[in-house]
Amino acid sequence: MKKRIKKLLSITLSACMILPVFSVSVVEAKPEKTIRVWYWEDNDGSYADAYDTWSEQYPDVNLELEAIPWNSYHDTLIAAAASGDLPDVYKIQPTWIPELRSLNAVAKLDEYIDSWEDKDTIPESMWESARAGQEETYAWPHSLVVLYLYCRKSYFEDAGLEYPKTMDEFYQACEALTKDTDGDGSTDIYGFSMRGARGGHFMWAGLTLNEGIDFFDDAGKVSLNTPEMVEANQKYLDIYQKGWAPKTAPTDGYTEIVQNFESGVTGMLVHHLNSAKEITEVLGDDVDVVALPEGAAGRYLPSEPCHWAVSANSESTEEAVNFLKYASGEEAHKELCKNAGLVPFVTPVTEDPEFTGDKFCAASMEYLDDVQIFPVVNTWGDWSETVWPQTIQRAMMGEIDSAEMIQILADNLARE
Amino acid sequence: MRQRKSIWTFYIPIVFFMVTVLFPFAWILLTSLKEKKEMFSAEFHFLPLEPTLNSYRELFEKTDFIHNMWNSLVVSFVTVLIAGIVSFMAGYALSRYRFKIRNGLMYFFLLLYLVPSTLLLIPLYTIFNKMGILHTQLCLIIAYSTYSIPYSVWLTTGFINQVPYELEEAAALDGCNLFQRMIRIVLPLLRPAMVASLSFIFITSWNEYTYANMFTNKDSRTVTVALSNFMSQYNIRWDLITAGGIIVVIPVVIMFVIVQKDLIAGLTAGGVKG
Amino acid sequence: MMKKKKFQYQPFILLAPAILIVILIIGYPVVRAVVLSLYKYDLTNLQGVKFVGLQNYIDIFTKDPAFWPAFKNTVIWVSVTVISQLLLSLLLANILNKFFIGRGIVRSVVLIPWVTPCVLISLMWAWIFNGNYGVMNEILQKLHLINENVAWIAQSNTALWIQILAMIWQGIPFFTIMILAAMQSVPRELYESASVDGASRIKQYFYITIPGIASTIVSTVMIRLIWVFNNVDIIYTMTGGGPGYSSLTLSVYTYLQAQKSMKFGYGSAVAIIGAVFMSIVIFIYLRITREQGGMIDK
Repeated sequence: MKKRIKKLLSITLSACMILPVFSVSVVEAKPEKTIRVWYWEDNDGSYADAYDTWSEQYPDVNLELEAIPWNSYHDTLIAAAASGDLPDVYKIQPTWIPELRSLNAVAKLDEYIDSWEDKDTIPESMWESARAGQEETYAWPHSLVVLYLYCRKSYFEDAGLEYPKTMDEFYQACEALTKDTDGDGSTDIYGFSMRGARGGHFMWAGLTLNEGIDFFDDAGKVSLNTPEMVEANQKYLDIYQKGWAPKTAPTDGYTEIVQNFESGVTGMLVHHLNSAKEITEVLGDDVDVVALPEGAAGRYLPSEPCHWAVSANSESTEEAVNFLKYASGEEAHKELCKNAGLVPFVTPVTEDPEFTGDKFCAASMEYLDDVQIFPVVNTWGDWSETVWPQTIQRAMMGEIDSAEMIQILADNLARE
Repeated sequence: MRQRKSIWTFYIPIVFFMVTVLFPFAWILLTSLKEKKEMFSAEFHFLPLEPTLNSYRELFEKTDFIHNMWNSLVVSFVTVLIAGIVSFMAGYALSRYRFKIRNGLMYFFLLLYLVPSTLLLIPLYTIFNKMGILHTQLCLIIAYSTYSIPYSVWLTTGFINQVPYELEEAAALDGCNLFQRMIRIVLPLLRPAMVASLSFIFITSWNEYTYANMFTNKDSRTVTVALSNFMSQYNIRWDLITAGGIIVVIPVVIMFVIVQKDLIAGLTAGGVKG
Repeated sequence: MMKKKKFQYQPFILLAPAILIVILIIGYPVVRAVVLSLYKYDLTNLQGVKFVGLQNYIDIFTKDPAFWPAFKNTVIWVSVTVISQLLLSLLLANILNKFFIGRGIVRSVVLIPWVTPCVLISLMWAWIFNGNYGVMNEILQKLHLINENVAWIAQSNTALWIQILAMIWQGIPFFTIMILAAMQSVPRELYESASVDGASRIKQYFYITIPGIASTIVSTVMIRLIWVFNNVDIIYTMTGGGPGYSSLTLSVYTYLQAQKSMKFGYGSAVAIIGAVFMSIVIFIYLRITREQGGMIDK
């Protein structure tokens, strides 16, 4: 008997719990317009703060900001696109544009851009990046970070070295900084935080392609597979194979390379502004930044631009574009860059002493002409997520040599 | 059974297991008590130099973690209810009856699950979207019930197999119908097994990540997604993740301390023989 | 066993909810996956979708450099993990079955690995086995078992084993609880009469306990086989399948192909191959354990 009552009770209880859920799922008709915006956070809470003046400027349009976890952002986006559930505005990486176009998920923005009076506050290079090599523009510039080189000040001082300006100096530094500090026969400090897991192609590109190689040539063919590239790549692999990078390098991802640098295991790190805050929290003044070293053809500074896209099925395209213009406005842009640690590119803000006076930001902006963006092709997603990490790991472990690695990379890039 | 506990087969294994289980957890606990800058400083300290409750404070005040836990609880409980009832009925049928497609059905329940859940993500997303229940707890409940049912059907069938049919025959002679036999005879004897099976369903739902990640939004987010959310593109909030990890585990363990007494039920209820 | 021979409707009514729910929610996606595996279906190129028949399968078996390593790893991953879990859990359940002070607490503590979210598990174990400042390296060095730090997760010969360890750690509570529950239903009188007859404890264990819990072991092992096979989270978060292909399993590979590279057709084909392989394994397993399990009739 007691069991029966208990069971009845629990059923009733759960029914009560489910009912409110039903009511929530019924969509309420809102009298005013709402635009939904999806993004992933760079630093917690920074977007909500940066855009809190929206309601003053556009009181009759509701702004619904939704932060999707980065881990699942791309997956969720694709699922939403495939099932027609996309928000009005969403943040993207330009390399996703081909697949989004293929899914009919993005709206053309050319007419809105051309008719915008403040168009010139955003540099041409950012518009080009948003265009992503397509015939029309499907994205709107949002943010930028540029890779540079973090150097452990005290390590360089101890070794009597200057910060590297050329690739030769860089490799010298890698070797000189690798030390066995407690005399037990095993290395305690390594020169460079090498990143073999996915995402490591950024630093790899910055330290090999500066010898004058590019992914594609002007005719659109893959031009990666050259003897110069094989040689530059071998020098890069040497960092690991000669023991100047931690043994864990093949599977070190973002977290590990930064941790290694912060805990003193390595002396140099390639990353960008977004990690500056955390690194200074741990290392204080004992860290300096310089631009990536020059190769035979100058500098190759990889950048990670992020853009906004507008859904092709949005019912509030006008309002969505208004949001984009608002977000690129001086105030909002400055707030966001400050809170989230991004490099400003909207004109009045770029002169702002808050940014030019910060050594990390200044280093990011120093060589903006040499900033590169990765090619936007269909194969990039697969190539960067899977092919690159798997291949460089095999090369680092010695399973394949430099020439084979470049061959695999080139083949996969060209594959349709 | 009072036996002298031998060192080899008792004490050493127990210590070994406790250490293996608790050691990683101890790290999480200690890390959650550290100041942010201590977390990965140059010298490695196991114990926090200045223990602080900041991580917990931030977890409760600045994040939605409590709300997420509530979501997880609701989803898991309702899933347990639905899956429990459904699989009990199905398990009884498969255990007590023999019919032509019985074996086929048993295989069927399994083989459907060999297709990895990653392939089901987009179709399910579309289905739930069309049903209008995407981003609510309900779609997770449905997904989890569907996911747990085959396993618990198998387990329950196995357990019911171990309950001798003679008891039901005796009850049938006394005039019990099917329903009464199931509830009054089989179910009580199954208590330890059902507790195990239901806890299994509960924890599977509690821990599930892939579906929760895709099918929830801020309001309905569960705890596993919240935890993983503390790892953003360039940053891992060790303080929040470890604090959250402790908070997530403790209530479930306490709940289990209460419930595990049922696992000792043994032969007291009803009586199996004699 | 039932004696009635006429048609019984009861089982079908009892089974209806379970079957209905499963078919409605899972049926469509599974069929879709099978169908898609016969197409070249890349989300990045929806205009180029075309029917290719078995070409995906042929490519996987002959041209794909990642498939066979993943296959081999999957076999190792599943078999080692499940067998180790079974043996360790038998040991643990045996201990927890005895009466001692604080047993309730220990039983609940043992639950912890299973209740820990996957994210945390990966982080914990990645930290313990960290090549640069992980605790395992420190301990092993102090015990003079190794000379210098080993990069456990970055080496192709150890990466898979670290994951196996993490998986075993996570799965032991489940097995233990199931076995413990089953042990409770073995009648005590059997042990008592066996003692009276002079049987030693070990004999009692093998002739009374094991047969008594056989049915549970059979079903639990099988569930675990499927579960471990399907697991993606732990591997993906710890190593991403690397370095190279050394810790890649079929389920992780499916995820990489279908979600990350968005080659749905190809990914579905990989999944189907994995599913077929596991069904064969399970089919054989169930036939062999028919006697003990009593689940599938002769």
